[in-house]
Amino acid sequence: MVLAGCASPVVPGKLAQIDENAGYRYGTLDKQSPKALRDTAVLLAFSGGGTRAAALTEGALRALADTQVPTPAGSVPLATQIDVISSVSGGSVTAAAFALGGTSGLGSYEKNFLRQDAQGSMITGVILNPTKLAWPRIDILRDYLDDNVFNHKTYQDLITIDKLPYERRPYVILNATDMASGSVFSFTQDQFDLICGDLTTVKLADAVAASAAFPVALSAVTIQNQAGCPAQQAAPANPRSGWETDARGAVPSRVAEDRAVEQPDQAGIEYPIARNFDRFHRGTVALTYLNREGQKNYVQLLDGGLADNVGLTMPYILMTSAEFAPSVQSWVNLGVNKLLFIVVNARNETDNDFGTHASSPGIVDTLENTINTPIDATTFQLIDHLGDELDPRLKTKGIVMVDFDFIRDAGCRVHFIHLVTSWALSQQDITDLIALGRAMVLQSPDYQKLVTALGATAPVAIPSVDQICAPYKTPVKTAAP
Amino acid sequence: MQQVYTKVLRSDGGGIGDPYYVAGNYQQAAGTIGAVQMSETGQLKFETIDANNIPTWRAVANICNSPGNSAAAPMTVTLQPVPMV
Repeated sequence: MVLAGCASPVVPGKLAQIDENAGYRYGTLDKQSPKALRDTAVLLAFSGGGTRAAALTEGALRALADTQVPTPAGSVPLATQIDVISSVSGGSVTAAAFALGGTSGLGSYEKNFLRQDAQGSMITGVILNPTKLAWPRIDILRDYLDDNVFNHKTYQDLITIDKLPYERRPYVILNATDMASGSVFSFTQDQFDLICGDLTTVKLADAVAASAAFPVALSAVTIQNQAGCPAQQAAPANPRSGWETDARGAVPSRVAEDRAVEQPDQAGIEYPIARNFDRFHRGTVALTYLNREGQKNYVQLLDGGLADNVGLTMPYILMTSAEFAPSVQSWVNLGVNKLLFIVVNARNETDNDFGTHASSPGIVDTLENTINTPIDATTFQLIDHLGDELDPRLKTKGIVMVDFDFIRDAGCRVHFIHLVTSWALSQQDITDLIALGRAMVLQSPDYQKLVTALGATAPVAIPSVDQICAPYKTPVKTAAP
Repeated sequence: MQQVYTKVLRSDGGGIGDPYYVAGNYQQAAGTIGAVQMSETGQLKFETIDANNIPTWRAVANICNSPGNSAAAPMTVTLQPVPMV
């Protein structure tokens, strides 16, 4: 009985059939609540960083909740028209909670999660129930989220939950890292088709815990792979599946296309058509989940931030490819000419003294910095790259970066960037982070430009970044008399 | 990932303005026949479908960024009728 909360491994319901028009997919949500902003794509990407990230991303959502934009159905909060949120780790808690609760749920999420000492509660839970010591470490987080944040809800609830008439809930893509390949594993039905799992049966707490399973501190989330199931074998005969048959059996058409190669110019070497190595790698990783070699009966998932610290992989694919829905590239082909892309990066730096001594840092410092530093560099490169590659027919591009790096005052910047990664922060830190996330969106020139293009005006940020920073500012040095 | 200007046409010249789909993503049309649009590089399967998602016109094309590709000079992809089974 006491082990009822322990759910390793996750065994998704087996798919009855593969149908691109069923399950937790963008198309399912869009049919219920079609886009009101017909010419605009709204995407958000949320980073990891424990409660620091969860609070900062909540602030960004509040900025959109406070921005009214005109639609054919009247003026509505921009937060009700978000198409996609892609997230990792701490950002995934907010993303999933928002997909479940919408704009009206922001207040209760703040009260019931952000302002609670989740870390302390998890430790207390172990003390009161020592059998939890035998659980995989990740199950303690999963159990807490299931009981206290997501109330045992599944992806099916994201489809069927009651919504206001004008409200679209975002298609949320929670991202973890597949330990075996080091690649992003996204909790989407497209991904679950490959492992023959029905995502609607998966608890939100399981997905969020996988996305937030920081290595060493937490153990991996294990998902059973049921590939090779009858639904996959039957899929090519179903015209709604998007699957076909290759020499070794059933395969999604997009994977077959991604893996297409030119004629080899040397024996034993194959190159992808048009040298699109990115697609080829994507197809190669996807193929492993079909488990044709019998080596992938389980998928071991760790923190999504290991492969992609800000959850940029899927938005990047959606903006440049027609293979996955919702494809922003396809929207542009059909007339969308505005893009709002908000990237919330709650990355931190440990307060270290590496530069002050000749001796090597210890193993914990080395591990933490080895994981974080290269990913941060890649994040900035990818965002720069995306700006260059966006479709030129997008007339208004609002790329909004919420990142402590863009705080002008050094003292304030250091204060936020040194906040610890934890599931508990002080009440003042929570207040500041929510206000900062909101202000950094509202004060962004790109955000203001996009809102103006939508025929509205972004509200003034009160408090502003300057006002939030006032207690933490670097004292101005005055010249000695 | 490079983007290439493309124009998808039917071999009979018909269907202008009809939606087409890419690589089995039937959730969302990728563009319309006859319009200059953009595609990623690599192999792509372009299809039109009927009300039951049965492919009616199809082309498998290798999209490459050749010199001079532009909105005024797009790569043309020609769909052929899919034989009835």
